[in-house]
Amino acid sequence: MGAGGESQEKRKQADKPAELRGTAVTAPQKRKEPAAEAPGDRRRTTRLVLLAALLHGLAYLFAVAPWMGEDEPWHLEYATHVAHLHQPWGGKPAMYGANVPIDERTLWATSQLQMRRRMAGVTEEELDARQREILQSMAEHDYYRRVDWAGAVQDRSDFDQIEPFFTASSQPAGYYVVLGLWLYPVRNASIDTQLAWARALSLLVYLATVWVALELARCAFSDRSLVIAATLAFAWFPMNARLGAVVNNDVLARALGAVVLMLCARRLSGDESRRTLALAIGAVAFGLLVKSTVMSLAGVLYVTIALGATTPTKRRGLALVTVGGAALLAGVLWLWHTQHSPVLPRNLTAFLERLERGASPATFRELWHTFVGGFNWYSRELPERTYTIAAVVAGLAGLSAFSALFHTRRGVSRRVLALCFALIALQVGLVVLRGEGQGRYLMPAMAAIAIVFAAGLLAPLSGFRRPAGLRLFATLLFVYDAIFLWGGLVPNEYLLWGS
Amino acid sequence: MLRALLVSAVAAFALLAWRERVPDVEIRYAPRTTQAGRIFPGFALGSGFACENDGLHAVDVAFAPIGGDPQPLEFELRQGAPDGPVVRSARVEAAAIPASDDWVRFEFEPLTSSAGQRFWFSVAAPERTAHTPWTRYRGIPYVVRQWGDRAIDGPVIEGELLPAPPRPRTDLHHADLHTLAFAMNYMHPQAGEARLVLFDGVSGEELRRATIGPGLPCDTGWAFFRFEKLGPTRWRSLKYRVELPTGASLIGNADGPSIVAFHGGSQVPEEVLGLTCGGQVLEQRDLVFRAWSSNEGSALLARLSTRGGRTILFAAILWFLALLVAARLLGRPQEADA
Repeated sequence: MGAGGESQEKRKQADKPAELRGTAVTAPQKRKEPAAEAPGDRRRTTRLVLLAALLHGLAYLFAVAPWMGEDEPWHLEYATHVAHLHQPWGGKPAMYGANVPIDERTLWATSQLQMRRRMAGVTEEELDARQREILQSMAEHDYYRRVDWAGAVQDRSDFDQIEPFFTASSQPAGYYVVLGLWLYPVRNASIDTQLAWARALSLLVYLATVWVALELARCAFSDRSLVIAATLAFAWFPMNARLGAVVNNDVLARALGAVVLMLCARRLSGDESRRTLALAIGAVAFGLLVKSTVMSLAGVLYVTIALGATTPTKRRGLALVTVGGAALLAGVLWLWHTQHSPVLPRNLTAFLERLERGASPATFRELWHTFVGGFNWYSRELPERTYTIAAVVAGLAGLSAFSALFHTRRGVSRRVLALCFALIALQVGLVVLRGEGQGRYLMPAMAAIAIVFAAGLLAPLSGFRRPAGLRLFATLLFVYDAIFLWGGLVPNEYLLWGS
Repeated sequence: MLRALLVSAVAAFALLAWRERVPDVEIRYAPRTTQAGRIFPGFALGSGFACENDGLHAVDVAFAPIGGDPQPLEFELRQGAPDGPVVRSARVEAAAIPASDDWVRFEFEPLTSSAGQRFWFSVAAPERTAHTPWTRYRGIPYVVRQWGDRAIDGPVIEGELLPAPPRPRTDLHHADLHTLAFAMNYMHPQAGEARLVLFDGVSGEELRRATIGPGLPCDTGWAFFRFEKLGPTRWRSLKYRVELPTGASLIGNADGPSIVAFHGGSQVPEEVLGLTCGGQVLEQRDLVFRAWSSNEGSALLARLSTRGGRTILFAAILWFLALLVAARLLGRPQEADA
């Protein structure tokens, strides 16, 4: 009884939010307890984290060449039409088939007809002119020399001539409305200026997300070393930092993922305010209008609410949330269907084929490679051993963190850690359901992955060894970033060009 | 500071390690779709390029095995023009040619002053080769039908390019069609011309004509019929008639011949000068090759400076500053210091 009671007390302490635990609640034993963040240190840490992330993000902003973000031309095209105040709904479908006077597919590129179907009031000439403007900029910035599968021909007239079956027009409109409003003041500037402006928004979102990741880490850990390790893992993870320098709806999806996870972690740690809950629900609802990959957040939020439903009143609330959530989900699925989202399979056969493809080793290989490091629109990679080493480290970190769910680790909230695992599992599950393994689809769970890394690699160390562990952890992280940026991104984008 | 310097040293090492891996010129073409076919005796295949740096010392050509006994390959490098003076030569024995789709390297004594010079190389063989070099055709490719598994005999082969439906996917997706490539089984250099005639699919009106040869052999490769650009070709129905010289046949499958359509522009970087076949220059295509010159770190940094300019310098400075600031997070907390 006594031992059990002590263990329960330890768990309670570990699960309390950082603000409510630490030195005031459990006085640290000298050189054995992990060091908590004192209020002054907390402010200083926040400032330093944001400054470091800003500099790091700016470095990537300068290093990533124009149009080197995957699908950037399509995303920017969409947003620029919104910036010209075209509504991203109610566009004109293409005419084709037996009973029409003319098959419009013979007149306009498929990518232009798809965008016209999305944007209200936009003319074919406007669509054509925008694509040509973007294509000219791509040629001027040597896009075709960098992306191996795109071919070297530089004079192209529509997006189909890069890839016939790409489009952003089937994506939910949330990100493009935000980006379109951001671009409104520069909507008549050159496309290069608009690209730079759009990328600046990605940097700001990246910075905000780093701050959210820091707050999440503070919910997950009461030990300063773990907090900093998790935050650095988030901010310095190269493909994550690179995402802060490109135009893509994954930028916002990742930010919303971190926000929802942080709010859920706070709730699990004792913050039961309605404001937190409302914010989380709002973020999930908005997320579903941004990208289908944030569907996982709905699951995490639901689990969080269900875990907190300990009284009859809360259980009634949970029932309400269940019904409302199901209705919201059905509404969103219907919306995606009306927007021709490729997320939804056309029939059962297509779904099963997709599932088989999604669960294949090739998909997981691609997922891992493009998560650890892929360049030039994933047409080039790091040396194979890099992925192997990263897989070994990730495997060890994952196993170690998973064991922390069952064994008390000082300064680690097991409930928050479990929530992180749940989000990662849901995120990987979505990739399998989608049948496409692209690393950026994991980004809504990036903050959770960072928590797992920090917990797995540093939490097993005793309290006084963690600062030294943090220094080693950070140094290895910086080295990974150095190899990624200066041994991967920069050489591939600037040294190795096709002719 | 020490940590930041250490990590920066790793970064510099990672960057400079590329000096062995960056060719002077490279046709990067993926996935590789069109091959030139076997090299015939007397009809060497080659390509031209302008060299960026001094110290040109090797040319790699991408080859794929297509059956038969491997032949030794004779390489010649000429300066200035396809018929310019031979400045280097090399030979790769049959046994040294890779058994899989891979680069074949032709190495020679470095040319000390190759920077800014134009070179033309050619690869010849004493007998028809068992390997084919890959080619990159200048246009937007759209694969109508993949390389097939059977011969379609001539002398006249007719067929249609159709939209969807009836096709599961339209045969012509883009506008501005200017070339149709057909998979060719055996077209001897002295066999005469191969002709393509294109008709409107509905009216039957003749739209374009194109001829190949004589003097341009093609065996187990793609024969490119180039004609004046045909603008409105999206989702269009066209009929074609291919007339083959004696002994030649097309390759295809049960649905018809293997075809790749090329649309749109054809402007490629200036440093590649086109393909040669038996001395003829075919400007619309290139062999898939890479040329290696200086591997000095200074050449690498010069290229980085030319292409990246100040933005890369800013990135480096900001990245180093980020390291310095982040390193401060690793020290003891402020209160503990006090």
